[in-house]
Amino acid sequence: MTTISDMKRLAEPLLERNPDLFMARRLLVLKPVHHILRAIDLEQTLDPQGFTPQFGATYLFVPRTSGGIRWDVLIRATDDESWVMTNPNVQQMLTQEVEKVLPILRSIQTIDDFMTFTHAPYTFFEPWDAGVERSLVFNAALGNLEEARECCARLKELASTRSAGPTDDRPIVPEALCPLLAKDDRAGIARQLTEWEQISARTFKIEKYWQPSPFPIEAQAPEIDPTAGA
Amino acid sequence: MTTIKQAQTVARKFLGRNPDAVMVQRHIVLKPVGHILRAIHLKRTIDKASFDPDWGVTYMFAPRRNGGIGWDEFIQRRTRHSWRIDEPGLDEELAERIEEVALPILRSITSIQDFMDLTASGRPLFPHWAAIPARRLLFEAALGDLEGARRTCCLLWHPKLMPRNAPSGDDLLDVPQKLGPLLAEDDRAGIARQLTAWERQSAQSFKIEKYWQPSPFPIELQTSGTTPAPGA
Repeated sequence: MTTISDMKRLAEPLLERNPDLFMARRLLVLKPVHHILRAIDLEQTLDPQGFTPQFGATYLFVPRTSGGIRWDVLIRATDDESWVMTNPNVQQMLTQEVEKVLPILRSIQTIDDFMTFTHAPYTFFEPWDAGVERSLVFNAALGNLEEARECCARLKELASTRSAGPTDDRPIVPEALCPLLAKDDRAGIARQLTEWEQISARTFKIEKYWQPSPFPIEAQAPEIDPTAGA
Repeated sequence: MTTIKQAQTVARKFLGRNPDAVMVQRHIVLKPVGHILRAIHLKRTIDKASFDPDWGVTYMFAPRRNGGIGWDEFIQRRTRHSWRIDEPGLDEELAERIEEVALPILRSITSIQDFMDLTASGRPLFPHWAAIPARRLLFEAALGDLEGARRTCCLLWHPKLMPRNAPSGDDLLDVPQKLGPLLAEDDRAGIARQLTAWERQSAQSFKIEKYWQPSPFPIELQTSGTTPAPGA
């Protein structure tokens, strides 16, 4: 099994050449870290000498309990090569191949960019809007309150949302967001999402690089509700 | 505690004079029964020889399993005495008191809006239709206030309002689980169908199936896209 120190040693040239990269456990992470985490994961493999580099991105504004990136793509070894520590070319190959994908990752800056990324044609990603739970979170973050409320209503039909365990995001997220959505509480929603980002930053062990930043929902003027006070 | 038979006997005089009323078990029910049930309940009391007549109203479009009316008030005698079944002339007094106290109100409630207005009229024992989110959701859906109903549905995600471990099949869960997805899709016909199915279930629960008549809901009568705010 390759260790974290093996990976750190391997990534040294990359870190030196790209000052916006830092290493957190087996993740090479791009700074700054706001709502979206962009990283290269040097994953363990069954082969004790091997590892698998994957590049990808994920959103931090749900309370993550596992450190998986989820929207990631394998970085292929060049012909006749493989990602094993015993390969004398492995460090050079890693530097070269990672630097090819860094521009893609650097282009993912906003929540919108990430949403576009999940629809990327070269991947097997789940699009951000494929599931109701995730659509709810994104619509809330973007300030699409009516769409988010539709998600809350739709979610009610899923019995599993009630029986899911407490570590599962599913009951936690709608239980926290939906009552805030009912009241158009933009500040409350933003506060909740920021709190979750902090939890996720801790899970990924990138707390000291994560910077809280405003959500689109905060940047919009609140809707004037003609029925308010009715 | 009076028997059903005794209750039916004492109600006979009233029923004879009011052809729009029928007796179902211990309830005098006003016809027609559509979305709203209007009834006088001749309730049992601890005292074997007495009963308590309550007039009341309730809405049918909820998955009811018990036969309680909910919005009801006691009909007092002319004297301070209790309604003793063996008192001579009690049937006449009951008929008159129902006609004086209950019928004017009950006959005036013919629509969902009438019922809502009654619950908002400040009678101390009547909970406001919108006081509980699960109930508000039903009314907003029935009236076609889809935006309002979706907001209420959101509110129901609050773990205190809707416990995560509530047993499946619980009425509390039934309403948002069945209406939520239909609300998300603006499925007016689907919502009306669901509400009608619950009315049928309530009619069975009250044992008034043969008097209940399915009727259109406001949500069906609107063109899609209009979502008037209910008179809260």
